[in-house]
Amino acid sequence: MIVLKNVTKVFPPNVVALENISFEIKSGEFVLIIGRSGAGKSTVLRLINKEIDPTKGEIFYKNFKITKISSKKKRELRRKIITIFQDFKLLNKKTVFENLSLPLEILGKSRKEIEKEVLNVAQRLKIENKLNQKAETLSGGEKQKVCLARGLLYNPEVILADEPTGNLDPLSTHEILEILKSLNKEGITIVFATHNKEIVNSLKTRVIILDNGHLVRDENPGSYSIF
Amino acid sequence: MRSFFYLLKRSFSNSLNIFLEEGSLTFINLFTIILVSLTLWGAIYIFYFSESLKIYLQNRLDFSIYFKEGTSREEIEKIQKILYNFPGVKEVDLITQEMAFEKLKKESKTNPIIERALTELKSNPLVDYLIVKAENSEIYPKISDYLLKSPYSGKIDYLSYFENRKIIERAISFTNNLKIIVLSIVILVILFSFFITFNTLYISFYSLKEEIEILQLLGASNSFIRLPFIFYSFLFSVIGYIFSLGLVVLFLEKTKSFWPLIIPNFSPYHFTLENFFYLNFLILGFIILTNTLSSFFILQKYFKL
Repeated sequence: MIVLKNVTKVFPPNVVALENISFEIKSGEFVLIIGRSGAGKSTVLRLINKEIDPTKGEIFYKNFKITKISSKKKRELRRKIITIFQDFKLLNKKTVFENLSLPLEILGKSRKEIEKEVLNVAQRLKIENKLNQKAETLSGGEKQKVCLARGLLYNPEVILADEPTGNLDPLSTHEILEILKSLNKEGITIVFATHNKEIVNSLKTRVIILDNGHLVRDENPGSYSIF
Repeated sequence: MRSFFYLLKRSFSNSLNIFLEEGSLTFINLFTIILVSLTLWGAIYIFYFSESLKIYLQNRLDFSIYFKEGTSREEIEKIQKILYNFPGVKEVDLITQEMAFEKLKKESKTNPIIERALTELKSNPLVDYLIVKAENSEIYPKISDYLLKSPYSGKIDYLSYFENRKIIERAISFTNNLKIIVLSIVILVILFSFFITFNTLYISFYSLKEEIEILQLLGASNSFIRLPFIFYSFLFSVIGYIFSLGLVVLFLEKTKSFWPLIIPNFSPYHFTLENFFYLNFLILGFIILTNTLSSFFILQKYFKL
């Protein structure tokens, strides 16, 4: 589904974030990308999401080369591959409802459709009683759920999670992981970047280990013990 | 078509939200627009003042043609007719010797010596002459050249142009310099307005950078992201302009009787009333155009989508 082929990313002036990385993520997989800070985890996710372009190499999504695509295709891609972040990226001064409305407004849906779909996704993630609250008043776990709900409104095929539990307490972390696991069971591909060893050990799933921009290990479920 | 109207509606309502929710930004933007439009109004009045001053000075300058003894009134009237049709000439008045004598008597009332001398005169020593008023002071040298080369040159005793030449030339040079100064001021004001508008908008949009980035990450189209900001700048431009117009009207109303005391034909109040729609169209048009173009440029250059 997602293929990175000999990808190198160099940030100016001459910072090598990734060097000659190659791997494939199959549809429906739950993949953990782990490594220390600065190992290149976020860079991989940003490359897949087309936030940045590789310096060398190619990236494919469903056999379609996304290294050089038009702005329109890029927008379409971001509706299929959504990202959740450690810092949530919510409009803090807006209510949860307004935040959740955004993807549907982008799709040009009517007010009625928006209200219906927002309520559905809010119920699914158990945040329906928070809809009229401003995002800035929510806890970290609630914010991450809103972020996830916002992405789910696009019916995504892939969720890129960039250290989504980095700012959360253990209980909220567990809750978010459970949601992601259930979404994965529904068939959504999850690419989860983290450096949290508890998460890695609790999720018996494929792990890609990055170190200083290099892919050092790509292990299948259950066959690794890194911490 | 439906989605286009939906986009417009959504963008307008979003721009209204930015206007109301981002209070401090809106305040700064409104303040900038008020400042810029007051500066533009000021530039227009400076321009109008320089024009009024020029006209006032020109009206105070005239050009008299005195004729040699023996020149008949018919001949003088013929020259008057020719000069009347001369390009740029506004008026050509014939002052007969009787009129000239009456005028002199009137003007000498405050001087008893001249008044007494005039009463002792047995005949009128004055002659008929023409007073020419042109649209601008640059016409006078041309009339002078024309007359001296014409077949009537032999009839002409002297032209007051040569007496007033220095004053006329100084006035021409003054009005020309004034024009350059005023034009420079207007250009500076326009550049300053553009600069200040651009930077205020840049700061405004920069403070909303996060919102723009989130929309980009969500795969929103360029128009979906940009239009609310463009509408927002349109909104505060119009509202800011209305405020500034109120201030201008108040100022004009309060100083209505003051300005004509400086130059009799200078009345910003009447000038504004006579050109109300044109001036508003010009200033508001400039502000909206500057803001919209700046918004578009800032979003295009600094917030690459």
